[in-house]
Amino acid sequence: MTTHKTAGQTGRKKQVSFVIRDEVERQHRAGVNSLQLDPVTNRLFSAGQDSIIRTWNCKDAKMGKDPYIHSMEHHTDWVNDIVLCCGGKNLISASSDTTVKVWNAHKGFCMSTLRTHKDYVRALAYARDKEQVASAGLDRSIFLWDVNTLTALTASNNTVTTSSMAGSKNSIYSLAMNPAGTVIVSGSTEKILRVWDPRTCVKQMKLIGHSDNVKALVVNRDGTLCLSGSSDGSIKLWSLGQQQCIQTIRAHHEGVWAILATEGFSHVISGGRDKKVVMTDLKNQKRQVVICEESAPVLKMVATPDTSGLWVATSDSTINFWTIPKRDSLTEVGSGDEADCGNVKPVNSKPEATIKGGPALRNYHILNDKRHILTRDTENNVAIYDVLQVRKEKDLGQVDFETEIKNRFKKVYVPPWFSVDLKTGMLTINLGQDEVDCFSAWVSSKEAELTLNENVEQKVNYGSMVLRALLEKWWMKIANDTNDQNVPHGRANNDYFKVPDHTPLIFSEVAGRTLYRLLVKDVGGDNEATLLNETVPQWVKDIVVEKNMPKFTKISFYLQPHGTCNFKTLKKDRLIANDFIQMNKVAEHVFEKVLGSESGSVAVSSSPGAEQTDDQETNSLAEDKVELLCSDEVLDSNMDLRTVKHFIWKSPTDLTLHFRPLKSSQNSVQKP
Amino acid sequence: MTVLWEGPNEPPRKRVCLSSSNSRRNVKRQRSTQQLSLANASSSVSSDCQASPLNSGVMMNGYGLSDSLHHHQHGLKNCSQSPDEQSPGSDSHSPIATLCNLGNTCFLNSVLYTLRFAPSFLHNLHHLAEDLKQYSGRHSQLKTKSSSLGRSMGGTSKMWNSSKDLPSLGDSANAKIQLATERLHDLYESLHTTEQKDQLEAFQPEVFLHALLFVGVRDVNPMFEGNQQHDAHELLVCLLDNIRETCRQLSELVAERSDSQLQSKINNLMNGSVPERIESNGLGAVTEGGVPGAEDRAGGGGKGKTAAPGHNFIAEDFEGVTLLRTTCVECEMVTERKETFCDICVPIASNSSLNNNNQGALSEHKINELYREAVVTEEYLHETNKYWCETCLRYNEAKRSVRYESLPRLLTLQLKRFSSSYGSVISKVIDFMPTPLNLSCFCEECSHQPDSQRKHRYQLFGVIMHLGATMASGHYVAYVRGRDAEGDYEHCTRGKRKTASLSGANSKHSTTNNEKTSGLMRFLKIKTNSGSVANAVTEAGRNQQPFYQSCSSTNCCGLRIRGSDNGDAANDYESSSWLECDDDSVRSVSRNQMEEILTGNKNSKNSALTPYLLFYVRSNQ
Repeated sequence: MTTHKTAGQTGRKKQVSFVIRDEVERQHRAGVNSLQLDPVTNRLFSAGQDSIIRTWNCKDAKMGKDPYIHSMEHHTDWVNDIVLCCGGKNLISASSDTTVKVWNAHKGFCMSTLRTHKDYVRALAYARDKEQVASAGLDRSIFLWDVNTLTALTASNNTVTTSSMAGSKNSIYSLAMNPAGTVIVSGSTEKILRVWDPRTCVKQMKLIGHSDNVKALVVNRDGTLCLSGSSDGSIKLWSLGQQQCIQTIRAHHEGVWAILATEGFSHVISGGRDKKVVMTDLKNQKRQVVICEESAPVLKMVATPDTSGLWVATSDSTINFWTIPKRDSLTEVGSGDEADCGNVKPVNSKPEATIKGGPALRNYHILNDKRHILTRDTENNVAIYDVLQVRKEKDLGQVDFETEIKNRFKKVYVPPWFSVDLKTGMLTINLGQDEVDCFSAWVSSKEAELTLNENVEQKVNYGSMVLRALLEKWWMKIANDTNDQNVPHGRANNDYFKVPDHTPLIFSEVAGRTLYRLLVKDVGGDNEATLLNETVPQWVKDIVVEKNMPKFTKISFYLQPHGTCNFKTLKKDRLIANDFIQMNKVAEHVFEKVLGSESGSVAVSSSPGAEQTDDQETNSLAEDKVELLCSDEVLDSNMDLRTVKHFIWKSPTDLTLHFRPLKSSQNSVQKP
Repeated sequence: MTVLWEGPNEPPRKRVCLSSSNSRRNVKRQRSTQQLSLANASSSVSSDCQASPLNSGVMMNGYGLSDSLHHHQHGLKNCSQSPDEQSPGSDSHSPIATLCNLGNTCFLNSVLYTLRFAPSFLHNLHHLAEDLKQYSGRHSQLKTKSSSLGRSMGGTSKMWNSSKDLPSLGDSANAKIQLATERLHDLYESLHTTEQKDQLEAFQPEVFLHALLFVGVRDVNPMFEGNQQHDAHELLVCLLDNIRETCRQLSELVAERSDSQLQSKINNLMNGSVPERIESNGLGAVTEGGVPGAEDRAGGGGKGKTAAPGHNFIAEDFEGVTLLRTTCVECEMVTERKETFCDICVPIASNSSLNNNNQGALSEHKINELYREAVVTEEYLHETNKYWCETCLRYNEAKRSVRYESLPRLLTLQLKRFSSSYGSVISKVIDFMPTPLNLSCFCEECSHQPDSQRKHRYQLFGVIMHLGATMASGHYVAYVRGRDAEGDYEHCTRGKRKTASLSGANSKHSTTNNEKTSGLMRFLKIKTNSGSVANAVTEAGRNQQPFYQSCSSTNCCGLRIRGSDNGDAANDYESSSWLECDDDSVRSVSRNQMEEILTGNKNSKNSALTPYLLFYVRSNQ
């Protein structure tokens, strides 16, 4: 894959993300933003909010068979628009990950990535006769591309020049060109349409009339007329010669988000937020028909070349195919007023064909062990995911989400080490060093329920485990290549689990653009490894390649005798310890150091890795002799310091623990 | 939000107070040495101070401009004695009591003047104070200080040394708040008394109760400690907060005792005022209630509340509701949030938008547009400041707009004259911003109507101007409309009336008492008024028309400017003159002069005197 390199790295912090998903996702998860139809091969291409572009066999779909052909996966955020060029050979896509990608449409792989946009790329326009594509987005810029140049990009020949249309003041949400490429129109939150000549990039005119954002545009063949659909609910026909609106059509009472025109601009088919698809006769706009009513707001429509049928994409993941009624069946709808179209019944009650979509994850809840996530999707299915092993653990079916959360509550505190993103309808986990430190979760291996080689009390760090597992093939390759004897061969520290090979791994700027995406199984390849060397942030290399250990998190606390016991100490001991030490360790400290003698503050620390078990006797001794309290609540000896601070102390001020001697032997010390 | 810069380690001394008359300053200084140390020994600046923007005009406290230093003590110069000195258009004859400067307290004085002239404010405050007395069960105590102080103190003054003396509504924190509110009322009462006095006596600016009030305010709001200048807006907010809190405490107390015998007894005394409440809209006086829909409810259960003790008139009069509307550009889902506000902060319009008309003053329509645009805003959340959309579960662009669901009856606008740079220095924005005398309403309902069909209209009744180059120093002057407040007190069914005991235990609909009570009131009125109002009362009495009775609070702390036209308060506004209240100097200003100051262009010589707080009262069309 070739990349169009950006001018150096930005100073922004980087993060590493991965998606927990199946190897093949045959169905769209979440809405479909755009469609393209290849009449020659009878294939439908759909751009998904789940970042995947899928190819479908229309014939199979109409016959009720599974129409799925393949997926084009490389984007990391919503794919907003797609355009089929070169007679169906290539596909250009625009995404909210700020990139424009060029694909081989037949085989389904990404050929190159254009990184000129600085914000979401929202719309594409295509001039068929010239094989030119224009891209525009929220960064207010419009770039014009020559498709043939784009498809000829290789690793060595990877520069491409582009011209741009300047002058937009607001974020652009729609773009259209005529096939000859003589006129380009943009619609934005500025509410006015701007027109340029793409051959010269010279501004031509502004078309004023809409009172809200313009999200749909169509230009006619010779570039003399333009149709626009706006969030103000109206559709306007503009004469580019007269530079003004010549007709306003009211077919919807909410925003119009998709329009297409029939040959010769005789009729306009429109769809929008009110979920209706309406066809209107432009010569007599009272002649209107509601083609169908979808289950969700309409985002895009494509018609068959003979205008007999219509594929409709909505915010729901299912794509439907509807029959377009014959022209003469259009009836007069009252006064053409928007008030009336609410009462008109759609012509079709059922679609002619359906490409079924899957559910999207909409809610999530991270359990206290900071390893399992409960999710609920748009069909109310509840599932549990394991972040550490990067897999779905279990489907719970359509149970009550809140109840499950309550049932799985555990009084344990593990620091947060990742964040969750559901914008693609799938579970994306972000690891960073920004707000949440991905190395902050040290957990005992017993608690993590991982199989151990030795029966030893060992601490594991979730973040480093996951990163090492994801990048395993990479650091192993580095180790092998450098023949570094210092780097432990084999999978010394990471014997616990493997991560699915198909997992996508994404490197990006925090709240910014995506830098690199690849699958776990490919991290060991030569090209990939080189790119990774450049892209992987130092804090990851530190842990994964150089095999350093992340630091422990420490908590400071006061240790004092409880009021009820007679023990008096003059010093107010301020101690500092790792956040995961258990109360029995503190008890031990009390037993030895404080009750034994009046020594001052001691740092109670433990070394990483295996600890000796020889003081287990002292442990049990201490447990019998001393009990610990916080906020007057007796603490379980297995409870760790951070759990105490989070659940019992709860205040941001320094934690205070109290101790008191237990009356021995008469009281049965409970060991949970 | 106001942030003040408090100068580093400057000794607390009186700041430059550029006032209208130098001689007065010196006058005050001499007198102050005889008084308690409540007033700072002033080290006022005698250096060239700017002449008052208004060179003509009679000083309302009786000091003529020509008075020399030595003659000040000899009596009050009654305005009516020197008609040729009066400015055109000023036909008021009654003196206005004044407040002295206690040491950088012009911020306090300007707010006190403004509130005094705020329509119905005194009336409501009076009833609150009365109800407080009722419910906290204390008696009025007259503690007079030694005579060196007490010259201007009449028999009606009430003083307390500390909040501990006061059986109050609750713990000491509550007591302090209550005390501050009561002192405010006491002060206004004292001002009223001063004005009523025999005019031959010497007339001094109010000092003692004024200072007591200040102490009370500082007790509750420690930010006003020290001798520096403070922000008038912050003080206004504090005073209103105190009153609001007092109302709340009182109504809580009332609720507690609602079952008790005391309540029913008081009900009798109040002559059935609690259940009955008559909409006072007859004379076109401003209606009560800034609460949405309040005007729609003619009478009815809701209105009964307005007469209840502890009724929160601050909320009703001063509070409005903003509507924050956010629309995700992607899914177009609209989320709304409502918030109450007490005043609106208006950004100063940039020079470019003001320069559109190079011909001097902008038209009123244009000025209204200016304000509208500054206040009803729309912005896009985009780029690095995108909006988290709950529907899309991602960051998207969004459109956010600020609208006004309802505007209060008394609308306060604060011009954003402070700009904070990256340091801690707050600099003042002196850019000129015209002040409209009439402001068209910009609430949601009115916004959708053409100007002529709008329900509400706002008229300026007060302006607090700030004189000075920086916010950290300078001087505040209040300009208020000198209007007769008679209309505020009409149709008042609250308050103890001296007539109540006469009418006996008749607690039914008071219309039957009309003749009797109105007769008595007529008597009282004639004694204190020029009689024009009394005629109307008699009329009403004869016709047994809507219960027409003026509240007795007019005799306690009410405001009187005799000689102004009777009749529509609305008409009043057009013709009434203004008063410039500059600490202990009050003088009248003609409407033309006022207009010039407010809507004139930047070339006016008063460019350092900038409007800061604008006060409007709503009238219905």
